[in-house]
Amino acid sequence: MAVFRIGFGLLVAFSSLRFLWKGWVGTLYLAPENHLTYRWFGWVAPLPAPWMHLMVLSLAALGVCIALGYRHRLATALFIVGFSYTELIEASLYLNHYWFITLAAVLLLLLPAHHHWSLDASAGRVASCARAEAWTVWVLRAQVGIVYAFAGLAKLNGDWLFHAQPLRLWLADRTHLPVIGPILDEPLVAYAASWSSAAFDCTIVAWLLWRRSRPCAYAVLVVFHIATWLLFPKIGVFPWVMIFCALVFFPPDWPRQLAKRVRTRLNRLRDGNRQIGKSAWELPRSPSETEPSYVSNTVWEQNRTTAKEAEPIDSDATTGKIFSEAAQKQISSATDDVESTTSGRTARISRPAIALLAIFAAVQVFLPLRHYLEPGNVRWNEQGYYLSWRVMLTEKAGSLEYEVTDPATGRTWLAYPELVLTDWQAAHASTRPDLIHATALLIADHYQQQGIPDAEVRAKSWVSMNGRQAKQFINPTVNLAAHPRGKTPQGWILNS
Amino acid sequence: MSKLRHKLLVAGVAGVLFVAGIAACGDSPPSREDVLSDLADEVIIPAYEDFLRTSTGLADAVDDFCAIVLGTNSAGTATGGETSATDASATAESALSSVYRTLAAARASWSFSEAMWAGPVMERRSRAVIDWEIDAEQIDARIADASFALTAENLATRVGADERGLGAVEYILGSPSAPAATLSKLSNPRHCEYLQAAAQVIASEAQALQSGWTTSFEDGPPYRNAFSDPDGSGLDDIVNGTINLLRKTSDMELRQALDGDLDTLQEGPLNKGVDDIEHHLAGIRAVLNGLSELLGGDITDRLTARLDAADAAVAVLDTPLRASVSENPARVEAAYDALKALQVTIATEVVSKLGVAIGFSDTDGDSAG
Repeated sequence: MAVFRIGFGLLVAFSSLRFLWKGWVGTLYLAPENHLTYRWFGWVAPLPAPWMHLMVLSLAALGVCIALGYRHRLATALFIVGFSYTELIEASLYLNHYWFITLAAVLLLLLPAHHHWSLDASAGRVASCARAEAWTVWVLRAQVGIVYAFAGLAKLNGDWLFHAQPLRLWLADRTHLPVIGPILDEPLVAYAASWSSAAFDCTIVAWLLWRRSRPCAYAVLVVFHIATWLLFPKIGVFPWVMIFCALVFFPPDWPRQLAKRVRTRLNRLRDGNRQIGKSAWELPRSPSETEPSYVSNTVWEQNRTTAKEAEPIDSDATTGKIFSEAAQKQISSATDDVESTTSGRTARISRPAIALLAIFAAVQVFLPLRHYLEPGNVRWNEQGYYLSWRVMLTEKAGSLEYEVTDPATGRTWLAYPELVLTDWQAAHASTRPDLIHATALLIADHYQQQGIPDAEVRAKSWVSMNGRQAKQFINPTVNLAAHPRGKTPQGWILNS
Repeated sequence: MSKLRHKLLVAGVAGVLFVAGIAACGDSPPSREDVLSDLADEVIIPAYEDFLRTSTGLADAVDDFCAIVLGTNSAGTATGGETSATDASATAESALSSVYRTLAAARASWSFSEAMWAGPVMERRSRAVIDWEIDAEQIDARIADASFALTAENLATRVGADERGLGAVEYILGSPSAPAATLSKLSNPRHCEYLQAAAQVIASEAQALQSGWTTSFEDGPPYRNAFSDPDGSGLDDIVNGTINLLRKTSDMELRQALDGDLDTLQEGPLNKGVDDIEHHLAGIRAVLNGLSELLGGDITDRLTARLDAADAAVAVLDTPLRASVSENPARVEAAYDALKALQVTIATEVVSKLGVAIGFSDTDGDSAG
């Protein structure tokens, strides 16, 4: 969990700095005259420069604090607030992996992730302990598993499986790539990619959970995410986030084991002691090294042996309650005196936090499935799109214009979304009903300021999904400006 | 362990063979790079070469005409002979006809190339040099200002976009139906000087565009190379260009004219409104045909049907276009609808199929497109 915290902090720090470095604070937050906000969050607005830059910079700093375990709870809480604020500014920038980062931060806030390898522990602000109840690790695993499971479930649709769309469109766009490029526009390749990626998403969690398949599954996961990153560079840091987060499926002490093995190997190389028949990688492993001893009350113990003693030692499984990195530390203190002061206590979680986690889990299961409560195809009508792990699932392109009518004179004219939005906002808005509605309201506001109160705004909207012929998207007879932001009524979305 | 390694090895070899097999069998469609190269070589560069040829032809015709009309004036004054003056006038009228003819060819070529809005034409802001809405009063004032030397360089560098380009040439020439008035006006040497300078500026810009595509662009390799790069923005630019051109024609011109604002139709004395739309459609058709191998049969068929419908709707419009708007708005409305249908198909299906970004930022996305 400490490694998860450290990696998470570094990733969000890197991601925030990258955001600054690419100038996205200016282009995405400050340049637009108007922002497409989420329902109920119309009041959220960007800070003026340079405060917005400082806000993102502070997110990077908070990421470093999280990694260091410095004032962990405060830093994580502030990060959640700040990150959520920046995400709520512009709905057209919604990304599933930003939602994942928010959720992971919430978990880090609730879980005892700062009791080990942290400045808080070093300074005595929290009890230093290397043990945590096993189910806290399972919470993190569940969070990562939810992403894959629902992403896989979302791929089980006709377009993905039987038409290889949208991968067929996207792969054909990558034929210039070296080596594999020439075959990427072959339908067979698109079908193979669609089916294998659906199978990957649907089953990878199971493969990662099974001890024997775990190393191979993780290798496949790394290859899969790097391949998607190479093929579709615009997906940004998402593959790296998942490659890192999937490490939670390994036994919690994998960093220690890895370090120990590396250290052993280095020592052997240094000592020139090459006559040992088996390398450290092949040494007989204790049960705790190969797999922690899971017990019914969700807690395990892992004892570790020193590199010098390469013999199995008895697991402290009799306690049946905890995995004890501390015990390992006591044993290995001869070679690792840094950890010699670690206590053997278990970092426990409070009952309110458990209750919160239960609610948290229930909400997370509900959110991706809520679209089943709505009629129609969620990939077309996007009712239930947000927060549902529908990653890289559809290719949509839209044509959006508005017919504006002044009820006082009866005069009607056309207005483009670019009247109130930037090009990139308009491109996003053209395929999403809630953003089409939000844009209509912005256009009505625009004309109200021009002295035309109660302007009627109707959308002339066409969308092509997954390469199909374009269809009319929003009912052109509905005066969108007459309705406040809210759930998009079914009657508005055509051809759903 | 060794069994596992063996299985992995077998799986790896099978994978490689599978990929190689797919690559080897069947006729692969041309790559995006090939298609873009062909589009550049067979459609875009010839279009700019044609514009260079016609605009140079215009500049030459204007030079010939001015030599005649200014020579005619001095000769007529000198000889005072009625017969020779009549012959000279006929010669001048013939030269003027040639100017109108070459002007129409240059405009047609330019309108055709407007569908190819990528690279040098964007970077150089060539529209501001070649085809901007003119300010007639400003042009008249410039001609009247004897202290301003009417040279091509001055027109290119010291006057605004609304005082030069094809529009300025058309304005100075006036209507082809009244050659006598034009000849009379152009007997003023400064009118002819302005005309010559304006035509030379257009020809120079055409040369720069052609060179930019074929020889060197911004001190680097020709833009053709960058355009053919599948990672470049050439395809995005050109597809966006067709969408914007259709928007401009349908919404900024036809729609507003139908709504009563006829001034939005910048037809000029040549009444070029309908011709311009036809040439725009021809340019868009050429671009989309060039992309057909990437678009595939279904979309190409739908685009062809849309283009045919738009061509048919525009073909029945009367010239001048403003007369059509006034006398037969239903036809103009039908043309508007046909152009919008074509625009929607490009903005949705073509954009989706080609993965074109419409003014998109490159922020991370859930969509790979």
